[in-house]
Amino acid sequence: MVQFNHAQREIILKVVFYGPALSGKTTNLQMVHQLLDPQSRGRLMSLDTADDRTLFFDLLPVFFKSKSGFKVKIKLYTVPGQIMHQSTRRIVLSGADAVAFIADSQRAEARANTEAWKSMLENLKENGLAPETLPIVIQFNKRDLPNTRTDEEIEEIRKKSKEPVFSAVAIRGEGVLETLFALLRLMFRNLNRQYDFEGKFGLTEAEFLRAIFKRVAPEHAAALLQRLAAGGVEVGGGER
Amino acid sequence: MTNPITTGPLPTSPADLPAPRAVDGSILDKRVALIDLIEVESFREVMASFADLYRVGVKVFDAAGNKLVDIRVGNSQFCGYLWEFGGTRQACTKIVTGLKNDAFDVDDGVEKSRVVDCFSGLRYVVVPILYEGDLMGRLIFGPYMPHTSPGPSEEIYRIEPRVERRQVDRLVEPVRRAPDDLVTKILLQMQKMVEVLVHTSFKQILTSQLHIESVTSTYAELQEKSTRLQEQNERLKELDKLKSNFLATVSHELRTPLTSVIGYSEMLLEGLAGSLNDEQRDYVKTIMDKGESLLGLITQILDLSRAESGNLRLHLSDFDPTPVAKAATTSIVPQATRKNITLDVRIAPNLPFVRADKEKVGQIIVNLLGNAVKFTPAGGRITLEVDTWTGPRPSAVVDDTASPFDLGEETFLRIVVTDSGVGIPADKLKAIFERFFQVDNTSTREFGGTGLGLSIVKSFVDGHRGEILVESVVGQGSRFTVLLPLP
Repeated sequence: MVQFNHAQREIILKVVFYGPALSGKTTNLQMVHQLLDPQSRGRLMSLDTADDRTLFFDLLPVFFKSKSGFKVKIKLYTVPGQIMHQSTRRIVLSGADAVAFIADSQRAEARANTEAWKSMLENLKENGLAPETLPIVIQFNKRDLPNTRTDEEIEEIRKKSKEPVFSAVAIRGEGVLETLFALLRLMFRNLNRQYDFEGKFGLTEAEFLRAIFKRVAPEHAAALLQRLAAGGVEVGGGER
Repeated sequence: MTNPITTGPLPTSPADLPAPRAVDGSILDKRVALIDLIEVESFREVMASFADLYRVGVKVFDAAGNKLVDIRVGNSQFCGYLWEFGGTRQACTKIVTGLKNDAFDVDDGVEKSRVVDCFSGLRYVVVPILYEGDLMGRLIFGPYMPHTSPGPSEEIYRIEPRVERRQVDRLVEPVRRAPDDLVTKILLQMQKMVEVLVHTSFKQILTSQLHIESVTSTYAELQEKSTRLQEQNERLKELDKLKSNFLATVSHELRTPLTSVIGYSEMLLEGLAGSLNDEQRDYVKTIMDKGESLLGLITQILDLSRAESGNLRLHLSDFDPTPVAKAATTSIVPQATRKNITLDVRIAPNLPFVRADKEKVGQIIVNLLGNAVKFTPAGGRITLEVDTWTGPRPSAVVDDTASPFDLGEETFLRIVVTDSGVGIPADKLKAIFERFFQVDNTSTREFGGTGLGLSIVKSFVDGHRGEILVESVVGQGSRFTVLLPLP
């Protein structure tokens, strides 16, 4: 749920990267950190253990000031994937405005994906968030590894899925910004419907997305800006 | 959520804004102030060494305008002198207030540093302390004399004619002259350092707070589960007690008619209803024998259920255990003889009197011997030893590690029954005292009985605050040791 801070003319939004252990949530955030303009994001904070697996979570703040004078801050979080961190996942997920579900494409991880998806739905409900109305996108990560689901299978899932589905090789940065872009757009549309961001805060979807994705590396920018210019072009599968 | 806004300009008051997110108290949703992130004393020291190094004063304010650091270098006397006169004091106050309170210019959404020139010709630079785009506070660097400036400004004498030029020129000497590009570098360095401090500290706060939040949440969950388990446990205990009561009642009710069956059989045997032929006598004898063994079983169940429902009553008296042990042995002899088992009885001479329930001590020995006979193959050997033993209570010796505490020795009456039977597997040793337990629990098991004998022994021993121990080697035999405390 969006947080409005009237004294500081500030809007704080929360985006959570959810998924099974070792599916690449942190890698996604690291890439977002690397690819976004340093002016529009803060430091990437990783509360991690020595063996590089997420202990609590990662946090990457992305922010900009709207032309109408509002400071918009989007906090991107990852949750720890390991089973034992159930309560941390619930705390981090609380009040989320959008969720990116990072699935592992490896066949052996199919079950872990399902378990994580179920636990996400449960945790959302426990936090009073309705999974039916919350913007969620799914990313199938690790497309470069052997023994993964085929592109046809992903296509099948994309057709069936209520949520937009993306393919990614997060470690190479492929598909990372596309996932985020689609998610933030869904989120904006959802919030705009609920709170009339355009009318009340003078913030349009185009300004919102441009402010975040301005000055991204050229090879990523081209595709994104094209999408932005095209306006109505849908990303991924369904649109909520 | 309903949106209270109608139309019109941007919201300015809380009432104009949509209802805020219900803050659930998580650190993730809280705004942390600069003062919570830095350890003020240490920060002051670091700033002091900075100021000392560059010979320029530093002030730090948090976003709420609280002064965290104030270090003056070189300008005290100069500024102090100008403070003595009304006009310059007024001008000075205006400058200082502005340094502390004036908003920063914003470029592309980011607050920018500001250069403030004092009427005296000195210069300040005000630097925003930013973290994640949030304004956490400000650093005020100065005053210093810009390198390009010829010296104190003529403005001083215009504002306050009473100021003496000679004094001003003398007092301005210790004030640092610095080129603006050096100042820029210094400030960049300071800004970075503060940012790292804030980042590091913010990370620590998030880690520790979230740790606490996670633990608190897990704890609440566990407590809820534990309460549920406890309730279930209470319910089970209650059911168990009900069951024991039921058993006690039923066994009692079974005994009454059974005694009649036995009694009438006895009367028939004694010829009270006329003489019986041999075959009739045999039949009636069998009825009586089976009736008696059934009565024995029912009595056992009754004893045990009494013990379990906490109704075990001990009739304590002081008695010599020797005749009790002998009587118990006598009652088992016929069964042993039938199986051709050698019964070796060694009762120590001059045993002391025990204070116990005589009947129950007898039954302990009978049950142990009966158990031994049952599980010992024909031609085997059973030994009963009764003596006294002094030592620490076996249940008090928890493990092999040496305890610094004296466990305290007690003297017990020791009853040991050793057999050359089938033995008990090590993993079953604990379970043999449970009700209805038999090592071979299959329906085709070789050995009969209810499986109540040993658990009755155990409840009687417990009732006497005694101990029961068992050692066994499969295929070689078992040894049961009962210790009953002596007064």
